[in-house]
Amino acid sequence: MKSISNLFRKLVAQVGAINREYAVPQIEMTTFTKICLIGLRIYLFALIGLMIFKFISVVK
Amino acid sequence: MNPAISNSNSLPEELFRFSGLRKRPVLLDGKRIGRLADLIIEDKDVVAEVTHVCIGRPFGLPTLFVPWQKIQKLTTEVVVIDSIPDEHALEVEPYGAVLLMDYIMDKKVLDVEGREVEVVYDAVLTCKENRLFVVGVDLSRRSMLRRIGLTWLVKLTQGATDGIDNDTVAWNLVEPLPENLGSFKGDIRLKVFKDELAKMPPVDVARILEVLSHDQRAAIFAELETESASDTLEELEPVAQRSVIASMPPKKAAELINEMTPAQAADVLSVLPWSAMNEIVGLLHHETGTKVREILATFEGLIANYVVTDCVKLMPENTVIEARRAYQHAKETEAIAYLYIVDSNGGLLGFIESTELLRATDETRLREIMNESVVSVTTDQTLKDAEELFERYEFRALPVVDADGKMQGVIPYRDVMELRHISLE
Amino acid sequence: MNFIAKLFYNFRRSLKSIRMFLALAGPGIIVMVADNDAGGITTYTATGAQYGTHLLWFIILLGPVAYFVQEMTVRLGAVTKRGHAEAIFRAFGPFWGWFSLLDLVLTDWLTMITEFIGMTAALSIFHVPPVITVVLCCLIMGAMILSGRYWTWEKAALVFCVLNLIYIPAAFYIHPPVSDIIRHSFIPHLPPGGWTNALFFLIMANIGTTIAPWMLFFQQSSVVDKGLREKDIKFGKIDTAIGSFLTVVVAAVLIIVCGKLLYGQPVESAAEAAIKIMPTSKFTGTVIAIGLFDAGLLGAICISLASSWAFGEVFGWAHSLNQKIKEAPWFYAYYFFDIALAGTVVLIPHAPLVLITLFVQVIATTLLPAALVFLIILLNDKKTMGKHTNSLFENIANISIVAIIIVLSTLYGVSTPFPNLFQ
Repeated sequence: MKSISNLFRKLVAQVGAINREYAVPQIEMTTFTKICLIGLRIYLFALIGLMIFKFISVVK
Repeated sequence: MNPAISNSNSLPEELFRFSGLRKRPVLLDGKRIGRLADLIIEDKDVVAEVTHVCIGRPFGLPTLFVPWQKIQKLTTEVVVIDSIPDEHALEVEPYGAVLLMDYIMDKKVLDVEGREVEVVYDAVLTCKENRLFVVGVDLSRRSMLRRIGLTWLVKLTQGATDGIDNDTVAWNLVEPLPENLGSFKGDIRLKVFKDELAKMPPVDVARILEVLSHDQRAAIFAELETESASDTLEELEPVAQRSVIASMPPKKAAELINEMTPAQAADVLSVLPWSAMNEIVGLLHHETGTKVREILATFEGLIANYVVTDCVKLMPENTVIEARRAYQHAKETEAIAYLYIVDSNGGLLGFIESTELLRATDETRLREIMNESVVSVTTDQTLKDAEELFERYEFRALPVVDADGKMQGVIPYRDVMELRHISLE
Repeated sequence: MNFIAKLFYNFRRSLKSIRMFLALAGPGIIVMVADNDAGGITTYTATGAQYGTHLLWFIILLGPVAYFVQEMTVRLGAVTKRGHAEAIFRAFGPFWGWFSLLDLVLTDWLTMITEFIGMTAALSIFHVPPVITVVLCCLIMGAMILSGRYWTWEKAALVFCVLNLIYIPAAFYIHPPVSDIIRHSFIPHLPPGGWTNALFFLIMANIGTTIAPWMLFFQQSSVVDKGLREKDIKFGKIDTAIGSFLTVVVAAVLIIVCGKLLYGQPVESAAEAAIKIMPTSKFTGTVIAIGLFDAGLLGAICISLASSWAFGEVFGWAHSLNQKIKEAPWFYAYYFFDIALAGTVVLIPHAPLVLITLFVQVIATTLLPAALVFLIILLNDKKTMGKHTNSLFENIANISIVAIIIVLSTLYGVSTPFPNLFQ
């Protein structure tokens, strides 16, 4: 049990390290890039919303 | 010599063709690890030096770039390398490497005006003092035939094409390699015109020959025409001169030396062992032979022995246009800087500098422009006297007259001032 | 320079190009042929069975599409020397990085299951039990990496690629209607029956099997692992072009075969197609079954490598096929973990395999736009790409491809869970 929690902690630490390493996006933030990224976020959230909606309606 | 590059193993001096080395098996600890795929070279003006040997290995193992120091043995049969402590370190291509096979072979060769001359069919390499140099690129059709596997045709035509098909261009006539040289990019540029390819300046030939070993010099020398070989021989260092002359039959050596002035001939011959010198002198033209013998046998340096009879002599009544014509016939003359005016008995009257001929109009008599205050030496004077005159007046050559004032010839500045003379030491 | 010298010059130059190409070819051909994986073969047989050769023009159109998308990864890999996962993390930060990685892992794992479904179904035609198929597969995939050299792995993969071409003789064997094929190949038209949901699904399945996120990750990572340099990009492009040509040829051949032998008898999977063809032409049926197994195997190898590479890049494990198992333990551990997991799911009795296949397609196509958008942004970043930035023509081609795919896949992603939304 202890070893599993240890492993888990290690993994979290590793993910944290990766997050820190890549914290600053290296790509040049042109308007085109910004629009694309915002568009992608909207697209994905909308899609997830639809899936959740479908799930709820199926469960009902 | 650069100790970093020199090889600790002693390799015999030898002349190679790159095609004879490529694809030769490479042994490490007696085991075959691959084949010689390429050579990395570093352009060094006169020659290019091989810094790494690239070994192509089977089964997708990456190419090894082995530093030249690790090569124990290099022949057209096999390449043996020293043990390598860390193989992975040698798998990285050195930065900015110029690969002989990949970047230079089969590339177009352009002359100084950018005209396409030929294709690099092969390269000539030489091993000297445990270093490997690229000394020239081979543009000959024979090497092309060899490359496409028609060796039998090469052998068949060997005798017939020997004279006309010798297109090895020395590395110092190759422009520094272009920056963008790559597997497909970049051409090899030459410093000479297309038609001049065969006529490499003797000084250049000499500089290359000096880098080479005995056998290579002999091989290259044998390919030169008599006249340029003679000029080249003069330009060589004494050590190189000796090795070249020793390598050729005395008859051929005599032929080359006949082309020189007596002073130069004596200079070249003086480096030889006595018996060899004697043999060659015996084969020279009688007159030259006598003079050379005199120069070498006596110590006082009598001018009579150094006289070069080859010079331009004209009468005072001749016109400038006639003088110019005489010049055109006298291309091979040693002392071309001056034109001497003599009377009908051969008595020296004056001289004209060749540059003055350009300023004068065609019909001018030479009498009108000649310089009468002529400084000359007599045949019974010595080199010491000539040396003093050259130092004082800065002439390119001095006329030589006998006791009666009759012109015998000239003595060039170079023969006195730039050669070694026992009498002047 | 005279004629002979010119001839020699051009001859040596071409010879050198061919030699260099042979040395550098690999990633493009492998990824494109592996693209015709078990799911792909199923899609093509279904397309052929349902619409005959009527959709050939569309399949041919997908060739250049695949080329343009995949070619970008060659440049990205050769210039940055980084795999795709690392490139996304570096460029867009952790949010999009984790998103892409999880997207990749999820779709890869699900696609792996479809590969195993295909392989077990194919070999069960020859009465090989599924357990043995899965074990055999693991053994082959293990053997390929045993030497610890990218070269060995690549050459073995290329052998499977060649095996994938066994469909081609089958096309000649059945004497297809040549004039119909030519007409249907070059004149775009709607197949008989008009625009239906079924047609839309098939078209989307074809797109989804031709362009997939794992292909982007795989090709970029393998370009890096192979050590392609900037000056090799030209050859990498030719490699990709040849690959995309092969993928279209294989797809077209399958559609032609199934269009001739199964027209009007819709099939659910390639294995079913093989069984149905067996009575009419034993040779063709056998070829389809063998090809299906090969396709599944090749797909499984590449897909599990794509995620191993991605994980290795992000977590900083040693992640090269040029390393032995001892040197890169985590990389190979994930590689086998992926296989084992997918293999086990297939062996579970009564697993909802059809549902899984459908789920894979929906997830993959809806997440595809993100991957393509990232790719275009990365390829337009002058700072990293230098002179290998997308040219105007490449941008026009790629952006229009991506725009069309985004629209279609959104429609698909929405209409699969809500089939009645647009009616």
